Amino acid sequence: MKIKSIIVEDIQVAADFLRKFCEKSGKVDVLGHFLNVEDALGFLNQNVVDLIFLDVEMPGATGFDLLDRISYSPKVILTTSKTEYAFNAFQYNVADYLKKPFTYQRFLESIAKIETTNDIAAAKVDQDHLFIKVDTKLIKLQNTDILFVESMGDYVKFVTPNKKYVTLNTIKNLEEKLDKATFLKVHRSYLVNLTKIDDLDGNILLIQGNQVPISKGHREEVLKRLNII
Amino acid sequence: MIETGPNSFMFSKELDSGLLKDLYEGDLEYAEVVFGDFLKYLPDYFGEVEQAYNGKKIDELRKAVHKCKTLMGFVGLSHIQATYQAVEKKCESAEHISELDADYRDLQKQTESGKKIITLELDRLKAFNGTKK
Repeated sequence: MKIKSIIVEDIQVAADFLRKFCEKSGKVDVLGHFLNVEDALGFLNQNVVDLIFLDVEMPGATGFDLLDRISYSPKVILTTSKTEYAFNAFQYNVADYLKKPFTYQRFLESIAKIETTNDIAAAKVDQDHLFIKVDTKLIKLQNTDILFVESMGDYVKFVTPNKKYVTLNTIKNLEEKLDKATFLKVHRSYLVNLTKIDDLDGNILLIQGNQVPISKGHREEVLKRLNII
Repeated sequence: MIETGPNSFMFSKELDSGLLKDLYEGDLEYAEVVFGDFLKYLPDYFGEVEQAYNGKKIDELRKAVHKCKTLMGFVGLSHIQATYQAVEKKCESAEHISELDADYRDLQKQTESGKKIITLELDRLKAFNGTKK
């Protein structure tokens, strides 16, 4: 199956070059090209993609602003001509970093990284449970038992109706591994099980007596997914 | 200086031919498209540089310079790209637009020179590709 992607790039020549590489590879479908972050976010709020080719320096908001505001986590390949962004790229956990102009060979190496991680994600998405390491034990958690997950620095807290488990992991990583149809990132520090939400009060979700905040950047997606009539 | 033949094309020595060879991998028809696009977009992109400089907006100037810098890379104008890179860096620390006066004039001059080089190269590419059709 082809990788579904978009290109966010304000330089037409660079975008055309990238689109040509995608077509040539036969591995990547380009669903759209956007010249700025706002237009890209408009598309991403309505469509799910596997991969974003993302420029950093653009008119208005930067590529990193897009990563702050997107409500799910597709793979990201940064495409920029400025090497100073490498550190930020690492912080945002992007899959790869392509310095423009890049060769077809370098592009293929990048896509190979995406294919590898996509296979891993696909293998995990079908599972209805996961094992987490707590102290010396591996504990099995059914997806349906998880109310929400909260970030605690290098650790995360899984909250279930009866118990809380703290384990070494990140929200970013879990967002990729948990079923996207059920779990949604509502805040930089929270992933919630959509089927467990009882009420929404302003910017607070109520889940079996727990309060979970919704950030401004994620609010629109939350409202969309709550099936409000 | 420039060698062409029915079966080979060598980019001008004024361009980074090693880079162009790697980028286009012999697809000279696509190189022709990109060189044409370069000439199409450059006036607008450099117009943004001019506008920012005349408006004394250093951060806007930095962004416009960054954009031109990227464009230069796709046609192998690596020496001009390096100048843009240096000016982009200087914009990050400049406190007043007057600190960039000489750099701006240099960019104007080099950009004009780059435009001429690419115009000639595009003609050569068209001629070469025409003989293959």
